[in-house]
Amino acid sequence: MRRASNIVLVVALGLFGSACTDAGEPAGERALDTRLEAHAVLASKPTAEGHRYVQAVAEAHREADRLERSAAIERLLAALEQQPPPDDGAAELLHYDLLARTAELMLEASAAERALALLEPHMDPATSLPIDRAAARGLIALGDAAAQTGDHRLAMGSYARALEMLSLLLEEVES
Amino acid sequence: MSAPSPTTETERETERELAALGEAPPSAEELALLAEAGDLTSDLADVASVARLASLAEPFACDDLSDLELHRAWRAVEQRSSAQAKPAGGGPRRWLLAAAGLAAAAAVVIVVLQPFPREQTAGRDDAQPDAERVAKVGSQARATLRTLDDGVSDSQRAERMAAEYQRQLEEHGG
Repeated sequence: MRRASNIVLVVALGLFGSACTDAGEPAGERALDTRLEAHAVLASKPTAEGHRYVQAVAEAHREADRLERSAAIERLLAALEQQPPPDDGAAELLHYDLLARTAELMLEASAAERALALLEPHMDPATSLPIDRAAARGLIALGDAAAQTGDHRLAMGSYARALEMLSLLLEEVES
Repeated sequence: MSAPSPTTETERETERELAALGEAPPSAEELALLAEAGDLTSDLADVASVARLASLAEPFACDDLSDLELHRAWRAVEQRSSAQAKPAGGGPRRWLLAAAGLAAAAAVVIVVLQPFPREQTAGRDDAQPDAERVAKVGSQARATLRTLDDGVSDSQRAERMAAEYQRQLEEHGG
C-alpha cells in the first residue's frame, strides 16, 4: 500500500511561474499561477478506516457505471462527501480519481462552473498534490472547466501544472 | 488490424526509424500524438536547443526574472531535454514516452515564458492568454495524459486497490 510521504517537492516550475505574476496585482485579480507542489506516495500501514474508505469509493464507481450521467454525478458527489483518512496513500489516490471522474462527467454535461467549483478547493496551487496520473487528470479537468468559463489564466496555469506533473510521471516511467 | 499509413514526412520518418529498430509501425493513437506534439511545437524548430528556444520566446512577459532565474529556467529545460535524448534500451515505445515528455516540457516553456503576448497585456490589467494558445496547451496536456493511460477504468482501478488494501489489512492482522 502507498502513503503520502512527508517529502514535499516544490517543483522548479513554481519559481518561474510565481515570478511571472505581478506582485502589484489587485486582490481578486487572478494571475497566471503555475506553481506545482507535489509529494511522492509511499507505502503505508493499512487501517480499518482506510479500508472502509476505499471500499466506499469502489462501490460508488461501480454504481455510477450503471447510472445515467446526472445520477452518476450525484452518486460520485455523495462519495466525495467522505474525506480520505490522513496519511493513507491509497485513499488519497482514489480520492483524486473520484474528483477527476466527477468533474469530467460534469464537463460532459456542460456544467463547467460546477466542475470548477468542485475542483478549485482541492487543486489550489498551494495544495500539495500526489504525484499520480489522477492528480494530472484533475488538473486537466480544472483547466478545461476554466477554459469553458472564460478564465484563460486559470486554464493555462492548470494545464501547465498538469504538464509538469505528467513530466514527473514520465520521468518515473522511463527510469 | 493493419497499422495506418503514415501521411506526413515526420510520420514516414518515424516509421522508418521504428522499422530499423525492429519494432512495429506506429498505431493510429501514436500517430495522433505525434501530430499533436508537432502542431504545438511547430514554431519551435529545435526544442532541445536552449538558445533557439530563448530566441523564439522573445519577447516574453517575465521581465522581472533575474539573470540567475533565467539561467536556472533554461538549465532545467536543457537537463530535461538531455535526459530525454538518452538511448532507450528499455521496453518498446520508450521513444514515445520520451517524445511525450519532451513535448510536455516544451509546452511548459511556452506557458511560462510566453503567458500572453506583450501587445495583449499593454495597458490592460485583465489581459488573458488567448483562447487558441489555451486550447493548444490543453490539447497537449490531454495527449500526454493519454500516453499514461493503462486502459483500466476508474471502477476497475478502485476495485483492484480495494482488494489489495483488504489483503494488506489482513496481513497486518486487521
